[in-house]
Amino acid sequence: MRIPCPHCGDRSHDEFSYGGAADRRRPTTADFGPEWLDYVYLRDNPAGLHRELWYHGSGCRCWLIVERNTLSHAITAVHAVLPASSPAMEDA
Amino acid sequence: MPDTALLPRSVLHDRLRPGRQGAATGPAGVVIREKTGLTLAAVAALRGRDGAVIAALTALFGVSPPTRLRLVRDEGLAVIGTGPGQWLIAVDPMPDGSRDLRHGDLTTTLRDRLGGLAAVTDQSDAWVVFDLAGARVRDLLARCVAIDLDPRRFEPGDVALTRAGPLDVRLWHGPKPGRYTLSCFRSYGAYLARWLTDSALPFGLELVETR
Repeated sequence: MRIPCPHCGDRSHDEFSYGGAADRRRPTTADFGPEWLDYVYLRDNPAGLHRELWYHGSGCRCWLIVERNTLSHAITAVHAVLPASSPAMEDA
Repeated sequence: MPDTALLPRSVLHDRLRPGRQGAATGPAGVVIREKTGLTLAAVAALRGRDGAVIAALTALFGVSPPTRLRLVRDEGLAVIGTGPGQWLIAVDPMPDGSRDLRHGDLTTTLRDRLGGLAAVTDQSDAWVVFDLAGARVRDLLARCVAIDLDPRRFEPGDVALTRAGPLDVRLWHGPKPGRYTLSCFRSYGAYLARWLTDSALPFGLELVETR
């Protein structure tokens, strides 16, 4: 599988680390319950289009959102989590 | 600030035999030379400060830093785009091998100019840098990195951050066409050198002695 990185171009997937589904949101409640159980342990296993995070650790060191079809590995969209002008770094 | 009590030494020292090796007919297909004595500094713009960093670097060096994975060169100085809002500044040594101090201590100068705009770290002696030349240099690189090396796709001035086997490497083309520079963290330098020299033997290798 090759991932077209918006900064580096087409690269083998072994330059990247998988970061899980892109649209999971951390629960806002502080109490452990079904929401946290779902967030921490349960994963969907979709057959078809999946929005997921990949980290290009051997390249531009940016987090990417990749839209991939889990049945065919066809990648339909890739974009950086942060806008291209912003490195993943907090302001001092 | 480099520690002046330590003498930098080539990673090839006492490890690899310099000279002409491998396929012996005709000129060497690949010439490998380690670049020593470089002064290096990494610049990473803080969030949203890219524009100000680019302006400050332009004012300091007189060249505009690339906004993608490209390199610009001017009189012994290279500004290399290494990712969004990130650059590596490389200053060649003086002809006698000593550090070029035209920008003072590079890291200190950059920190003064970029205070509040960017994180600056000294990278001198942290990377091994190999200059690769010769008629078969692309054949050698094709054995190491899985990127499209055709000069129409990887043009002079292009930079790639990628892997050579298990190593993260930085590769750039030129600016002279057909000349490539490959670098990795210094602790992996002997490994990369051994891989490069072994891979180059069928093409005929000239390994140039460095200090």
